Amino acid sequence: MTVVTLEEDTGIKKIRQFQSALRDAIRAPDEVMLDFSAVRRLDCAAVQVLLAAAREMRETSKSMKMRGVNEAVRNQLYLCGLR
Amino acid sequence: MKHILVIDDSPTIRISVEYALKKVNIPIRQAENGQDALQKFRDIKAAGDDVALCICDINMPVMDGISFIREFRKIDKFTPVLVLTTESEQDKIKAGKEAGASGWIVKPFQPAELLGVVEKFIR
Amino acid sequence: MEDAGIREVFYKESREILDNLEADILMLEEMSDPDVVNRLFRYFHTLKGSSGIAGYKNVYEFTHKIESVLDRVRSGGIEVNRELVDLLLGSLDWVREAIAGDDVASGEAKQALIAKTNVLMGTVEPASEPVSNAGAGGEPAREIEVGYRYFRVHAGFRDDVFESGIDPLLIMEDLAALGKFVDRRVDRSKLPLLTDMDPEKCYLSWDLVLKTKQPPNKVDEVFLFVKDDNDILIEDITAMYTSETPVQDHSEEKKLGEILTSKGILTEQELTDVLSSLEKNKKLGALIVEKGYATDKDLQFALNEQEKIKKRVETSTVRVDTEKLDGLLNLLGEIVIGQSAINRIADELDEEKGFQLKNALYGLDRVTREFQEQIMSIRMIPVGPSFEQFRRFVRDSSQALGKDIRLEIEGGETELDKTVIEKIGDPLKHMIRNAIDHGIEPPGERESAGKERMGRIMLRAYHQEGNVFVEVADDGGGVNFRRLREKAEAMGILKQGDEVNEQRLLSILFMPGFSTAEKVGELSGRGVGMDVVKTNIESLRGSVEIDSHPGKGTTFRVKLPLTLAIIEGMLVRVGGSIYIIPLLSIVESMQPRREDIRTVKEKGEVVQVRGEYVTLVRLYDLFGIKPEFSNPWESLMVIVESGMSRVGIMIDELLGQQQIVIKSLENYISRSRALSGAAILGDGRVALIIDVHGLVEELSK
Repeated sequence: MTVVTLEEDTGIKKIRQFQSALRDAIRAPDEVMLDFSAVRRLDCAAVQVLLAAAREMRETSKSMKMRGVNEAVRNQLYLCGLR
Repeated sequence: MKHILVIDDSPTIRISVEYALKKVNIPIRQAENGQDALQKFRDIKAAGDDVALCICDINMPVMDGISFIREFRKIDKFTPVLVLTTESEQDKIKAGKEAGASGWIVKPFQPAELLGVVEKFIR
Repeated sequence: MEDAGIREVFYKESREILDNLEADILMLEEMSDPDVVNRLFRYFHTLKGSSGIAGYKNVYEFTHKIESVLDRVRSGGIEVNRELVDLLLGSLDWVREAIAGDDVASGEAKQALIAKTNVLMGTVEPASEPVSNAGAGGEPAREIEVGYRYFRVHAGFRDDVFESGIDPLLIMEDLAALGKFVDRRVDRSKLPLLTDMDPEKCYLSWDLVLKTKQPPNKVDEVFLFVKDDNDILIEDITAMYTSETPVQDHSEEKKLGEILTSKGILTEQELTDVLSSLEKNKKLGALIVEKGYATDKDLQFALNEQEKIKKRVETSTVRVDTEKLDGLLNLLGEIVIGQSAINRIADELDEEKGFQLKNALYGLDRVTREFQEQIMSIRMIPVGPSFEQFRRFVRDSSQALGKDIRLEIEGGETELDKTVIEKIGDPLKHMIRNAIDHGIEPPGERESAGKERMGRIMLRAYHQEGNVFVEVADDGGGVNFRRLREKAEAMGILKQGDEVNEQRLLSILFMPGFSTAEKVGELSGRGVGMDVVKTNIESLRGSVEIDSHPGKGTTFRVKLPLTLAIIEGMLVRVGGSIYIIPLLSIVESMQPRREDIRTVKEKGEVVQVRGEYVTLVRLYDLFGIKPEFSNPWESLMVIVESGMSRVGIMIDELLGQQQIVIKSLENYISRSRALSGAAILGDGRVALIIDVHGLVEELSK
C-alpha cells in the first residue's frame, strides 16, 4: 500500500507538489491510502486534484482509501461530490 | 513559518485585529500602509517564511489599499487578501475585488466574526 | 423586438398584480390574515421575478426588498400595522411609477421607502434559527416550514479564479452554511486527466438548490466577490417548492371547513367532529351552527370568503383585447347584412327553393343571435375590482381631511360591459369625492349629532329591469336645501318664490358651475362640478339622480345600460329614413294639439306639455330629409330628456322598440353630434342612432 500523507497546508500554493505526489501514487501498483490527519481544511484546487486522481483510479479499478479525515474536510469533499 | 499581515493606518484597528486573532496561533505582522506592507512581505519571504493572509484597510496614506493589492498581486497570486471596509463604502469592496482581493470584512467587526472569516481563509 | 414583447407582457401582468395587491394590502389593514400576507408575498415575488426578466432592474431590486419584509411578516418577525400598510402602499405606488417609466420622480420616493424598509428590517431581531422555535415546543413544524426559501444556484468559475486568493470551495461552504442543499450537482466534466491538468486553474462548477431561512440578499452576498466576472446565477424558486404546500390553496375552491379552521373559528378537532357526524342532505354550515361551534355570522363570513376566493379564480381566467371583441361584433353585423341579402334573394326564388333557403337561413339566424349574446357576455365583467380601487382613495382622502370614513362595497359581482366600467370610474370617483368632502361630517360633528364617529360611504351595484344601477350613498349630513335654494337664487337659476320640489332642487346640483360648498374643499369644489359627472354618465347612455335626507345622508343613483354595444332603442320613421332613439332617453310620445304649439323668444318653437314648454325639434330640417308630415299637430312627437332639458322630436311614425347592435359611425358619414352611431336592421337597412345628449347641445348653440 502506498501512503500519501497530506501536508497541513495542502492547497493552491503547493498544488503542483500535491499533484505529482498523487500522480506517483496512482502509478504505483498497489492501493493508495491518503492520510488527512494533518489537514484542517482543503481548498478547491486540492479537491480538484483529488477528484481527478479518484477518477483515474476508478478507471484502473484500484481503490483509494482515506484516513484521518476530519469533519470539515469530509464536508468539503461532500460538497464537491466526492464521498 | 506563516504570518498574517495586518495593514491599517490606525493602530487601534491593527491592535484589535491582532487581539481578535490570538486564537489562530499565527504570528501577526503589522503594517501601517501599502508600501510598508510590501516591504514587510518581502522581509518575510526573504526569511524563508510565508504570508497566509493579508488583512488590508482601503484608505491609507502613502499607499492605499487598492494600490497595495495591485502591487501585491504582481508578486503573489494565491495568498488571500481581505479588505477592511466600513458599511458606507460598499463601492470600495468592488474596487478591492477588481484589484485582486479575495474577500472583505466590514468595520466595525465583532472579534468572533473576524476570527470566523480568517479561519476559513487560512489552512 | 423580442424585448419589447416581453416588456409589454410584463406591463400587462404587472398592472394586474398591482391592482390585486392594492386590494389585498387594504384587506390586510382590516384584518391580519396569513393568507393575505402569503398572497402579498407571492405578488411581490412574482413582480420581482418578472421585472427581472423584463429588464426592470430597479423594480427587481426594490421588490426584492419588499419581499424580504413580507417574508419577515410571514414568519411573524414583523407585525402588521399601519406603518407596514403605509410602506406597502407606498411601495406599490413606486413600483407602478417605475414600471410606467417615471424614473426621475421615483428616485427620492424609492430612497424613502427603502429607508423605511431598512428600519422595519433592522428594528426586529434577525431571522431566528429554527432551534429557538422548536425549543419553545409549542410551534407546530409546519409553521417553521413556511419561513423557508429555495434558491437555485448555478456557480461556474473562471479558470483563473484562484489567482486572487479566491477559493470557490470556500464560497460553496459559505452557501451551505446558510441552509441545506436539497439538490446538489457538481460538474466535473471539464476536469482534465490528473497528468494533463494545470492544477492552478479551476475546472469545477456547481448546480445546487439551497433551502434556507435566510433572505435572498444573504445568498447574493455569498457570491459578492465572484458574481461580476464569474458565471453565477441565483434564482429564488421558493414558489415552485411551496406550491405543494398549503400556501397554494387559495387558487382553488377552498372548502368551507378549511376556511373556518384557517380563520380560527373552528378547531381542527371540531371540524373532524362535524365532518364525522355529517349526514346526507345536510349542509355542513348548518351542522356547524347547530353544534354551536360557530355563529351564523361566522358562517356567513366564511361563505363570503369562499365566494371571494371563487371570484378570484373565475375572473382571472380570460384576457382578451376588447378591440378584438369589437372587431368580432362588427363582423357579426356584416354577417347579418349578408343574411338579409340572401333573404331577399330567397323571396325572388320559386316557392319551393325559396322555402328551403329560408328554412336554412332561419337556423343560421338563430346561431347568429346566440353568437351575438356570447360575445356580449364576454365583454361583461364584474364591477368589483374597479370598486376596490376606491378603498385606497377613500382612505387617503378622508385622512387628509381629518375624517374617519369607511367604504363599504356591495354587489361587486354585478357585471357590466368592460367599456362602461372603464368610463364609469371618473364619475364615480367624483361622487365619492363629493361624499367625502361635503357629505360626511367631521367626526366631532357626527358625534354631537348622535352618529358614529366613523362615516360610511356605500358603493353598491345591482341589476334592475335590464339596467345596472350603481349607487354612491353616504350617511352624512345630507344636502342643505335652504342653502341650495339661496345659492340657486343668487345665481339666478331660481326666482324668489318659485315653487320647486326637492327633486327639482337637487337636480340643480348638476348644473354647470354649481357648488354648494361654503369654502373650496381640498378635494372637490375646484371648479369641476357635478355637471361633468352627469355629462359623462349621459355619454354612456345612463342617467343619474340624487336622493338626500337632511341628517341622514345623500345617495347618488346612477342608472347604466348593461352594455354600450347594444341599446334598447325605439325605431322611428321620418320620411323614408329610420332613426333609433335610445329608450332610456324617452319620456313619452304624443300627438301635440295645434293650440299647444307656440313660438317663444330665445327658445324658438315650443310645445306646451302639461304646463311646461318643450323645444320642438324638426328632425327633417336637422338632417335635410323630406318628411311625410311637416305640421307638428299631424306628426307624432317623442319627448326626450337630457340633463335638465326636454325636447320634443317630430317624427312620422313609431315603428316599435328593438335591441340594437351599434356600429361605429366613423366609417360611414361625417359625424354629427346629434348622432351616436348606426345600426343594421334585420332587413339590411342602416338606421342612424340619435344621440339625445348631443342633439340637445347642438340645439342650445
